[in-house]
Amino acid sequence: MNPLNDDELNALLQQAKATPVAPSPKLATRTLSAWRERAVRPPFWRRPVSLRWRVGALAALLILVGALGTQALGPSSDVGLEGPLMPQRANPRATDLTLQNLQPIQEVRPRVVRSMKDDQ
Amino acid sequence: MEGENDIRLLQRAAKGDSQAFRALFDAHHAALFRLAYRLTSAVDAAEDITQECFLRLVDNSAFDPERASLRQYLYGTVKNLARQRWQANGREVPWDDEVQQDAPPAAGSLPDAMISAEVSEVVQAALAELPVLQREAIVLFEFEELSLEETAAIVGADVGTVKSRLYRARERLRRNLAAYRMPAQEGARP
Repeated sequence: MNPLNDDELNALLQQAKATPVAPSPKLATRTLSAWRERAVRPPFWRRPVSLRWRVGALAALLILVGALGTQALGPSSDVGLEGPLMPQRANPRATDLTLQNLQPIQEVRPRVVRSMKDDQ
Repeated sequence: MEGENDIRLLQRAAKGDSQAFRALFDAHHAALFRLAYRLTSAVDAAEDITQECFLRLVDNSAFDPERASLRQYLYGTVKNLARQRWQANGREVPWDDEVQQDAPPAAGSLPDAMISAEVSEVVQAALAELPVLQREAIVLFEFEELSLEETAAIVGADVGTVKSRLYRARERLRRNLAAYRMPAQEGARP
């Protein structure tokens, strides 16, 4: 079969062009609603919260509670739980000693110490 | 004038103006759907591509009015989405015609009895047989009536390459549509 010439091909193409296929009427509605979902952002209190944000907020809350708890149980809570007062004793350090502190004993006073068994 | 109007509408639509988006859609969707259908030969796919084209336009538009009109930019988006669809479907589609064999022309057809819708279907089937690059060129040039320069810009090739693709596409259509010979009409595009 002989191929078409230019005019015959053009005639076919023109006729095909004259009867284009139309989209369904729902296309406009579908596209508009899809665009609204993407383009028109809801107010922040109505936006879904992603898992990452939820985990982050929970971690921050735990850290805050932990910090507050540590502060409440810290040193300020020890008031009133003081131990027995120890007598302060002069306890010269070795570097403070001089030869004047190391004099020989001048008088010896003997003292008899008896046992309780001796009285019985 | 029309370009300025498109740009204003696009700016308003990007800010969430649904009326502006609707106006853009009404102005361009028929042409985009027509092109998508000529490239994919499927109404569902053409509608999906048309919708995605508009969503991308507003979402993340790389449209530059200094380089092309909005219509040309949208045509380019349709072409890219159609190509992505072919690749995603994993179909063995010929991109050029080095190894492509012509489909045998249908025999026993009755051209005299054909009505316009049937002619359109036959031509669409013949277009679907073309390699992708030839199909893009002939649809943009013959059906959307773009110039050679506009067609070349959209398909990303130089004018000489587009001429070559058009020539080969027409040669193939001449052979594949030979069974559907119709009387020539005057005033057809050469």
